Parts: sequence; C-alpha cells; structure tokens
Amino acid sequence: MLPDFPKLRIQLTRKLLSDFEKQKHVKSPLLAKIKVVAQHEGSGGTYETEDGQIKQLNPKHVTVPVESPIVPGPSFTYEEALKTICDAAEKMARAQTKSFFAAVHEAVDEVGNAVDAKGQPISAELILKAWERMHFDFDKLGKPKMPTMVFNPIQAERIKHEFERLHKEPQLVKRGKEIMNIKLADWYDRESRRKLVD
Amino acid sequence: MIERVVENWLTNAGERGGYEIAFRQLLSFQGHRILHKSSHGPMEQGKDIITIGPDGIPCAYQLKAERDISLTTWRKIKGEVDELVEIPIQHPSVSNDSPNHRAYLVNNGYLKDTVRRLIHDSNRVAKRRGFPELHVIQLGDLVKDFVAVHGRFLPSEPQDFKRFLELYARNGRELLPVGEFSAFLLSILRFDEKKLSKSEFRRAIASALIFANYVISPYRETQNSVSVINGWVLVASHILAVADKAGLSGQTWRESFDLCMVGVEESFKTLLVGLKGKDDFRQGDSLTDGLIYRARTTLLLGYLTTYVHYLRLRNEKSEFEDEIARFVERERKHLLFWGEAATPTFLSIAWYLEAHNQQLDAEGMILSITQAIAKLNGPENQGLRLPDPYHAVDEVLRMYFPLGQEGLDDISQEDFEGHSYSLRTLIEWLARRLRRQSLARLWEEITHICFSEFVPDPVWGTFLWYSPQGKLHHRYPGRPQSWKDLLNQANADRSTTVPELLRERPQFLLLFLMVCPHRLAPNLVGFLDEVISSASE
Repeated sequence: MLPDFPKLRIQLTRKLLSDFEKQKHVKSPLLAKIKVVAQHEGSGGTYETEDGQIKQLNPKHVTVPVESPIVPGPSFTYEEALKTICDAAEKMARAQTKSFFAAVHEAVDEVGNAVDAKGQPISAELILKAWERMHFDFDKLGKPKMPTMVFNPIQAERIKHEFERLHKEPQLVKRGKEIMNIKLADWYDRESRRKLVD
Repeated sequence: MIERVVENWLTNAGERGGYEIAFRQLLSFQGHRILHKSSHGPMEQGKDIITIGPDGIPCAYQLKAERDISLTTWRKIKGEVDELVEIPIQHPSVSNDSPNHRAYLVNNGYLKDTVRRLIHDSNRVAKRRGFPELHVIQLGDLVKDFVAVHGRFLPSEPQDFKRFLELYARNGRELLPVGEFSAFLLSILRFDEKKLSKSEFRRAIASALIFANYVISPYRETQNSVSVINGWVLVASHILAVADKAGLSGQTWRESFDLCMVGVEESFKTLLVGLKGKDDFRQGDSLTDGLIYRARTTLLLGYLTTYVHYLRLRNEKSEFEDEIARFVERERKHLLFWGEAATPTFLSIAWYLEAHNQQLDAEGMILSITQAIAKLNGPENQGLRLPDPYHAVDEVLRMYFPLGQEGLDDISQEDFEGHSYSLRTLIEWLARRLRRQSLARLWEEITHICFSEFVPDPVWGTFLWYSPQGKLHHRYPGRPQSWKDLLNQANADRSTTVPELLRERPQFLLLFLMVCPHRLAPNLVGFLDEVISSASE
C-alpha cells in the first residue's frame, strides 16, 4: 500500500463536489432557481399542488460519468480536475434540465394549460396568451412576481423585440394591464382565503 | 482484537457503573433471572445484584472497579464482602428455606496473591460456619464471558469494525453521533438477516447492548450524561425495532430494554448530581462558551423536564424536583429555538410549565416557536431559515455562526423555505388549548408553509434513525381552514395510530423524540399530550 492521503482526498472530493454544484448552476441558471427539498429517508411520497391536488413524488435517478482529466502522465493540477468537473456539471445540468422540462410538460398536459403556437414564431401576442393561462402571485404592493420564461437562445433577439413591443404598443400594454388586473383579482381572492374561519 | 477492546474497556471503566449494565446483561444472557439491583445505599447488604441462577440457586454479586485488589484495598472492602457472604438474601422471590446463596465478588482487575490467599482461608472458615464460599470473577473471566456473549454478533465487515473503533475512540465531550451509532447497532443486530432463531435474537440483542457499553464509555467517563442518555435511548429503540420486525415475544427482549432504561435513569441522576448547586450551565473556555450557552441550556432544560415527565408517567417523583424547578425558572430566558430538531425540547418544557400552573407561559412559548417557523421559513424571509429536524444542533450552529461548512454536509445545499415538519403538530397542540384567536392571527403566514411528514413503512422503521422505507408527504394548511375541523382533528383519538410498542410505554416516547426529533408527528404528540396531561392532574 502506497501513501494515500485519505483525509486530504476526502476534503478535495468535497471541494470538487461543491464546485460541481456551483458550476451546474452556472451552466443552467434555471436549476439554481429551483428549491431543493431533501428527502432524508425512505423513497418518494406525495405533495399537494397550489390548487389542492395530491400528486405522487417519484424521484428520478440522474447520473453522469466523471472521467479523470486527460493529461499526459498521472499528475494533474486542481484547475485540470476542475475542468473535468465543469464538463460533468454541464452534462448534469443538461440531464436535470431535460428531466425538469419533461415534468413540466407532463403537468401542463395534465391541466390542459399548453398554448399551441401552431408553428408561428414567438410574439408579444403569444406571450400575453400564455400569461392568460398562467398562475401569478403578487407582492404586498400588488406588483406581479413575473414568471421565469425559458426560450431557445437562438430566439434571444426576437424575444427582446417582442418584450419591447409589450411595453410600447398601446394595444398590447392595455391588454397586458387587463390580464394583470384579472390575475390580481384572482390573487386577492386566493389571499383572502388564507384565514381561520368558523 | 475484540478481546483487546473488551479488556481495554473494562480496565478503563472508572467506576462500578461503568460495566454494571453490561454485566447484568451478561447474567441475563447466561440464564439468570435478575431480581434486584441495589441503589448502592446502606441497605444493599453487600449485594449489588441478586439473581436466581439457571439452576435455581440464588446468587448475589458485589461489583468493584478496583483494578488490582491489594491488601489495603481488601481491608477497605472487607465489610461489604462479609455482608455479601454472611447475610442471607432477603427478597420476596427468595424463600427463607432456600439453600445458601452463591456469593460473587466481581472486579475489573485481579487479586494480589496475598488477598487470594486470604479469601482461600476465609472460604474454609466460612464452610465450617455454614456460610457460602466467596467466588471471585476477575478481569480475565469477565473478558472471556463478554466475548462469549457476542458469539457471531460482532462487527463482521471491515467498515463495521472501523466504525466501531471510531465510535469507541470518540472524544467523550462531544454529542454522540446518533446516525453513526444507529448504523453500528444495525450491523451488530444483523438487522437485515431474515432467519434468526429466537436464541440468536437474544444473543444479538445482548451483544448490541454490551457493544453499546463500549461505545458509550467515553461519554460516561467524561460525565457527558446527555450523550449517554441518547446512547441508551437509541439502543432501546433499536431493540423495539428488532422486536417489532421479527414479532419477538417480550421474554426475548424486555430485560435488555429495561437495562437500557436503567442506563438512562442512572445518567439522569449523574446529570442532576453534577448540576446540583450550580449557578448556571457554563462549561469550559469562557471566550467561546457564551456563543453556545443558549443551545446547551435549551438541550439541558429539555432533558431535565423530559426526566420529570418520564418519572411522572411511571408514578414516580424525582428527588431533584425542586432543583429542576429552579433550573427551569432561572434558565428559561436563555432558550433558543435553533431548528426544528428543538421542537420536542420546547414541547417538553411547555408540558412541564403546564404541570406547574404556568399555562399561559407554556402556551406563549409554543405560540412563539409556531410563529418563528411560519416567519423564518415563509416566503418573505431573506435571511437564514430554520433547518429541518434531521439536522443536529452542532451542525445548525455551524451554519448560524457561520463557520463555513461548504461541502461538509448537506445543510448548505438544502432549502428550508416553505415547509416544516413540526408546524402541524404545534398548531394542533395550540388548538387543543383553544388558542383560536392567536392561530387566526398567524394563519395567513402559516398557509405559506407546507406540513411535511415522513411516514415510515413498515412500522418498525419508526424506531430507527433512518427508516429505509417510507413516504414523505407534503400538505398545505387549509385555505381557508375551518376552526371546527381543526379542533376535531386536534382532539381526535389517534392513539391506535401510535405504534403499539410506544403506546405501551408512553414514558419512553418523549425520550425517544428527544433523541430522534425527526420522528415527531401529530399523532404521537397528540397521544403524549393526553397521557402527560392526565398524569399531571
């Protein structure tokens, strides 16, 4: 047995795992926004949705291979190890994002909340249509907590333009306000139910 | 190797109590029926333990921790030894017509030659006078007998043995690492083996209890009573898990369970003797002690009040009741709700206050931690949140200070927003006290928090630190919530949903929740509320 430095290596593993998590969130900011609720024992369970439905919790196992840094010889630097970790983090981010969208699709299909663009490119009108079907929360001053919207990066310029239209074109601004007023009324209605009654 | 560990443990057992429970377990395993354990007062008449041996002959034992017994030591203990031999056993289960008892002097060391010679001579005299002979059990005999009990129930895998050695070599001033200890106990109990005979179960349980003695010994040596209590409670709960899983009859495990409770009771007494007369709960280096004083006080008040409930549920009273009352009165201003694992502690103190006619203070305390959960784990809080009950106090304090535990554990990667394991239990506790207005004021905040509850399945998982199977459920509070429904729910008799082995021993239940706070559930607390309130009336 050659000297193995086990304690130091445990600490290095922890550090690399911590960097792995950070990199995962850099690669997919969407994942960073998702709350992590740990299940410490057992497996699966149930949860309640905002509208009172009981759903099954079926955790999925997501793994990615982590390979040794490709370097000439057996020795490598922490930066080289970190590069391997970054690659793995990117793969994990992709796998988890895919799994996340699959779950979202399933939920959207189930409640019939999908907006079919019928092959049309994304537009301010479509965004408003999506808002109409979405659940909005508001802060105490009545300001909406805007949802996270995920688009293909190829469409970035177009999305930017369409959002500008939402804020500039009087027709769209008016419609946007109407939708938000309805959503605000819904929210007030929901909030008014947060009480202990007879 | 195990012989060396047993020998090391025995020679380091600094006082009689260090190996007494293990020795009683040994006797029980050898087929003795234990009749009596002395409280070590003047009435013990030289007999620490009285048993009926497997052949029906009464036996009496005097336990010593004198290492090597020299002539000087012998002269010191001779009075007790004479009583052991010459005074007949007086116990209702031992008939006056019984033949002479067997007398044993047990010591965790050896006899010097001069003393051996003296005992030999005394035995000849005793025989002539019609008294029993004195038998001596020495270190070598003890090691041989303890190792024999273990049989094949030893740490079998290298990682189990490593875990054992690490636990055994721990710093006794720390808190016992209950998760690791639980994993070790499961390895000794062969928890996953399906086909054990009744005698194998007995041996496995006896072995686990004796191993627990080894693991707990560093904590006993440093008089770290809270850790010793945690250790014994955990062994007891694992015995219940085995009993429930295998459907064992009480005969197979009850004696061992009761021995764990003896360990718990003795540790409480040690704790109270240590605290007696103290003006506060300070400990060690004053520069850093102030930073953890509130956490220590919270733990201590929780355990002390739990002890009062434990005794009350057994229709007993502590000789330290006044002392405990003074501690609670003096220290309660320092209480710290550091995380959800502290909920059983606060409930215990609240029940204590109720029993001592401080109803409003009790309710105020539970109301304040209910509010703390709703606020700290609610959506508006941007600061630190309350960790769930799976996180022990030292881990949580590292987060609060903060000491940077990046990657050391999972607490930094978890988000405690929007859910709580104890909120529903606390709401029901308050509802049973008709605190409708207070709850109504909090309800808006409460509705942002999901009630989380882990339900072990099968039931024996309840008694383990980690249940391998079971489901985690998250439910929102009613929006709106009917007070009438809440009241009905809180007052419903759910005693039948409490695992039978806990229902039969409510005095153990609160202790168990103190050690395994993640097992706190509305049905268990509802049941405890009922039995503790009835006992206090």
